[in-house]
Amino acid sequence: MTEEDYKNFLIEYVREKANIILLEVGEGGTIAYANRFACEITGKDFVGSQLVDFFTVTNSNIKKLLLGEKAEKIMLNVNMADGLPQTFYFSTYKNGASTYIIAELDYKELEGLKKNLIYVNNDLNNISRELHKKNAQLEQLDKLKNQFLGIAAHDLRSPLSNIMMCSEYVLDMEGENLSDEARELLSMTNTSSEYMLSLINNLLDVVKIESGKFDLIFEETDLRIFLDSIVRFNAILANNKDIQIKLNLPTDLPPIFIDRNKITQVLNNLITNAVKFSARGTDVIVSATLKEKEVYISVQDHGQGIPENEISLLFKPFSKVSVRSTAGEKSTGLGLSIVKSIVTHHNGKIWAESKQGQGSVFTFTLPQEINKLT
Amino acid sequence: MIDVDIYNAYFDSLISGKRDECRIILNNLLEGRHSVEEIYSGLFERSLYQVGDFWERNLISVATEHMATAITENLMILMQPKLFATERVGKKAVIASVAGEFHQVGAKMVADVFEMNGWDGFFLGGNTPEKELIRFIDNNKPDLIGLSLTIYFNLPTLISTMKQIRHHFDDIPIIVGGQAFRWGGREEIKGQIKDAFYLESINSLNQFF
Repeated sequence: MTEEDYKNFLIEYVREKANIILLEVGEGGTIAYANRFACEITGKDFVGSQLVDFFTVTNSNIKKLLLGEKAEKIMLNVNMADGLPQTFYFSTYKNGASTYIIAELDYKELEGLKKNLIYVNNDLNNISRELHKKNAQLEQLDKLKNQFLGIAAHDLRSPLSNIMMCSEYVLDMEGENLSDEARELLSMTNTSSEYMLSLINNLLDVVKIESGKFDLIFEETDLRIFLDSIVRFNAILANNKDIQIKLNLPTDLPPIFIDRNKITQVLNNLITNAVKFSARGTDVIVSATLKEKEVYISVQDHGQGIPENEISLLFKPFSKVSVRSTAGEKSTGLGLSIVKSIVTHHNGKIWAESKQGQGSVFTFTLPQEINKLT
Repeated sequence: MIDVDIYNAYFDSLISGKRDECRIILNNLLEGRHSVEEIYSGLFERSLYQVGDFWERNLISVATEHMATAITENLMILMQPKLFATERVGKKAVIASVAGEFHQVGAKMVADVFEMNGWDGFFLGGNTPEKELIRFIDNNKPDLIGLSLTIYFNLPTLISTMKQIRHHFDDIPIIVGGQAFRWGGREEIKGQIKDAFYLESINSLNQFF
């Protein structure tokens, strides 16, 4: 191979085969020649275009290229055919009116980038693995918590029932023979044990719901009779506060399939709450309507109302709102979360609307047919 | 056993960078009641060994090998909710790649196999410095230590790390494995370190469960 052959080989290689950019720029910055690689990566033939069009933005470095400043490689971004810019490192050589421009990728930079991407991917994968592991541990702890709560609550229930019944019995049978102080203490024992028992019953419900052991027994139910009996039962409690519970029902309510015990629990809770937060002498309205194969049941009070920013907390376990009961009645903070679970298991929805100073309306829906949540 | 056509389709997608297709094949296998173990050994391990083989024979580039590894690692994430849900048996394994060994996917697979069998598989990642490994073992008192080696060149580091482990902990079994052992090294391990075993495949881990 002669020297001439060797030169021709190199020129041919750079023009047609090498993965480096070669541009020849004539007077006025017009591209006179672009090699195969330059055309391939940009997806364009730049011959006849201005050199500035080859780059993503006009840049003072482009002037350096045209001036043929050889001191150092000049970094510039090229518009690639896939729409993403790519950084190349340019060298330039000026010969009379022509400028020869060669550009290449930085191998070290790309290698470093590749390694870093691998490490970032590894790190992310490892973090994700830890998260999944922790998540599985949390789920197991949650199961254990439910088991513990279930056992603890179940075992506490019997002795507490005894305390409540005994104190009630002594108060009823021997109350007159007791000193005022003893009667007061016994009465406190009775009220406290009653509250604790309701807390334990609620906890047991939460455990059942969370562990998925929440079976519903659906029965065909005449809503008029069903709602009437619930209202009558709650009227006794409401009478103590001189609150009247009114039932507002249309004549054409169809029979509905529900778990009567559970829906009784829902209504008792909503009505008790309504009474709890209403002032003496007001009324509570229980109503039901049928809309597109769904029954809407609502409990409305004319009490204090709930601040708007607390409405979203109502159905979360252990959340208590700032509103206080009007006669010091206690609340466990679990009732409405259980209510929501029962309604959801019936494939219904529940929500609350409230205006401070005017009262609240709690509404839940129940599908007319059996439509158990699976 | 994973059907050979399904495996081939997966492997082709893997080395072509078609990660969505790999994910679809994986999901189909899971729906088709293939066990996590089967997928780890019959799909992930087998395909990555084949990727390594292709790379050594210059049939694919290093970039393609890295891409296939990255896709596999990301697919392994999809399996994790199933892995960690198994009931714990109260045993621990510490798994790592030694210092200078940046390939970690094999080690992670081993840690995952321990997890799916109820062990706590502590995975320390690639390039674990010797001191850190020793400290971790000391803090966690595992029942077994696993070290993975992909590049044969790193064998001396592996052996010196194993000697250090044996120096500090006399009785914890050490298992080693990985692509590197296709080029040798099994005898060195057997002769030099007490209670150290070479395992050919993640299937060989079954002897511990």
